Amino acid sequence: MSTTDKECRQIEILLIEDNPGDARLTQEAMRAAKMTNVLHVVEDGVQAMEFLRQRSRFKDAPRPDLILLDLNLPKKDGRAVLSEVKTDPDLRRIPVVVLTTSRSEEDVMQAYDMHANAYVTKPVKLDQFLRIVALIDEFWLKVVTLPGR
Amino acid sequence: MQDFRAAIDEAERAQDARLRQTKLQAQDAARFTYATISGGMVLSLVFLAAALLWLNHAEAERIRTQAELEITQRAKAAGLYARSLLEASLDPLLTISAEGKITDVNIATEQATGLARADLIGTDFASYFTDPDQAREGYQRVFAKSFVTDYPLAIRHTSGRITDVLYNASVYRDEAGKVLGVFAAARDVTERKKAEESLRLTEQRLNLGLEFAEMGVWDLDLIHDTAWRSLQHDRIFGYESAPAQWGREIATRHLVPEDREGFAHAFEEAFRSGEFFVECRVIRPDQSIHWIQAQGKVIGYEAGRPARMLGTVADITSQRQASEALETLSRALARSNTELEQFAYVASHDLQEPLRMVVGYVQLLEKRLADKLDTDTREFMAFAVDGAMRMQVMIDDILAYSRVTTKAQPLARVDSAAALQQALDRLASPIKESGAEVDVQPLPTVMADRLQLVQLFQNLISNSIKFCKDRAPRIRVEAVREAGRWRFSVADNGIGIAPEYRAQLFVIFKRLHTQREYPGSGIGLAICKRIIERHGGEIGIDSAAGGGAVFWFTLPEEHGP
Repeated sequence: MSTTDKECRQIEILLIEDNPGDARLTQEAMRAAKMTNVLHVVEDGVQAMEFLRQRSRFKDAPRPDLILLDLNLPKKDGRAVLSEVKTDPDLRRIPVVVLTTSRSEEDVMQAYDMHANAYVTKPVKLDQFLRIVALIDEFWLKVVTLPGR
Repeated sequence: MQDFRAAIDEAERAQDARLRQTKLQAQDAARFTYATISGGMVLSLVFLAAALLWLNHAEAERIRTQAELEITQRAKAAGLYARSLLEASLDPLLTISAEGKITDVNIATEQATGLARADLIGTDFASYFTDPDQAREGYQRVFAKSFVTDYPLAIRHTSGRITDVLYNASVYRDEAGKVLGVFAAARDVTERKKAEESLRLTEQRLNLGLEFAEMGVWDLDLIHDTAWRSLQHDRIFGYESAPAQWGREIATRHLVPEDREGFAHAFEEAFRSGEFFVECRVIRPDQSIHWIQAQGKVIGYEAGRPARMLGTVADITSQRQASEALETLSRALARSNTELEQFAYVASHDLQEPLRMVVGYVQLLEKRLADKLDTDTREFMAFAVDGAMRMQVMIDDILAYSRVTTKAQPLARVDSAAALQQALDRLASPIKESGAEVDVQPLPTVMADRLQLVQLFQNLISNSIKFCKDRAPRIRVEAVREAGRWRFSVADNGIGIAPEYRAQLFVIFKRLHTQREYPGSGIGLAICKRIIERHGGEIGIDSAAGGGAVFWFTLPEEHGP
């Protein structure tokens, strides 16, 4: 994938987040960063896997370029989603950024053990949050070279 | 003794007889010579006869003298024989007259009494015993029954030394059967008594040990399945008086059914290894259930098969209950630790989320409505955000406080100087900004959780820096050895702490100053206290000479590998 492709192509981000307030804040942050991407939001791990495997109501879902994953989710939690994604030969190349409130050391370790690509703790202050979301977008969507779909 | 005396009499009688016979022989010889002479040449040889007669007489005289000498020697020999018989005995021997006076003694008696034979003969025999009455009674009994055996008495030496003896005594009589006295032979039983006493003491001590340990003893005949038991053994099985029958089979029937297999297995193991060990439950006759622990050894084999087993049994019900209680307690503690960890997680995640919502959306509103807000509204919104932010700090602090126990590492040898250096590195920027000088004295190796020791130093030093805001902080860290521990101190030249506030200083979220004066949540020293308590030490505060504060804490000395 070339730089030209990136600029032309729509970037698809899957946000797996159960708290609508948080999801909305992330959307607002992305809007503030003026990112030209599509943010898809699912509320739990089961939906996330359905989305990724394009099943049932997500039959026509695009394959995301980046996954933003909260750890504590209803039903199938973020750790299980991470493990499934990273052990699935078809999905494991999709970068997963764990975006969570937790600062627990175990969560950090466990996430990297399961091959998370990054672990980010959401800051409390809005400015910091906006900055971090902008940085994530900047880094993953502009700096790094992503695998082809 | 009778035999002895009779032997002497016999010897004397025999000597008398020999003496008489020798005299007769001499007379016969003289007579024979005389007859011969007179038979042939009576007249012609009168002179010769007279001469011969004289010669014969001399010969007879010689024979007679020689015989008498022989008799004396034999009598002497018999006397010596008797005496050596007496002296051959290492036990004290004595003869006593019918009147109770000593008539003869051997050297052993002299040694036991400390008196010479000459001083003993003719004196009252009873006076040499510790209990003269008992001695006399024994003497009377000899007369009554002709003998006594193993009659216990104690001989007193002139030095006061006592010899325990057992007397065997019998009367001796003359030819007519008249009792002449008593022959008494004592056996020195001092050593035996000592051995018995020592055995008794050993047994007493052993019994005391068993009694205090409330241990029963059993001795099991494996072939006939019978057992000797101590009373305590039977008490452990719930009996105040010993049941007539006991053995492995009967013991098995006293166990709760689920434990019988384990009991049988312990026997199999003992037959293999020689060592018996089992812990099982006994149902007493009153239906109460008691835990017992039995230990034993196979000590006898017959035809290569275990024949005898000896061992102890103890009631371990209370120990069992205590260890079960301890187990319950440690399970509860583990559960509470797990809950605490869960709480910590809740604090680090779930409690933060709503705060982030409050802060995030208030600030988002502030941004969106920027040009429409008046000063009051902005101030109110700032308070809302500030409150939420402080709440977040407190949550973090509680989390840090709980981590002192939930994230604790085992105590190990830690170089406290290195821990302090790490804390100073972490505080590099506040040290630089405040112009603080930290004077570090030589510090020891202690038993500690390294990360917690670093945190402790960090909290104390940042505390010192914070309370020196109007002057350059001068901080001195040192350690002195106390009994079995090290007393560290961190002294500063700050504002100090009035004695009346010192007690509340280590309480969580307790603050002595407003946020405006000295910002902080009041967790630092509470964490220090919790760290030190976890290390089994103490923490406190004194006034420094120049008005500052001296925070001190103690840590155990290093020990072990």
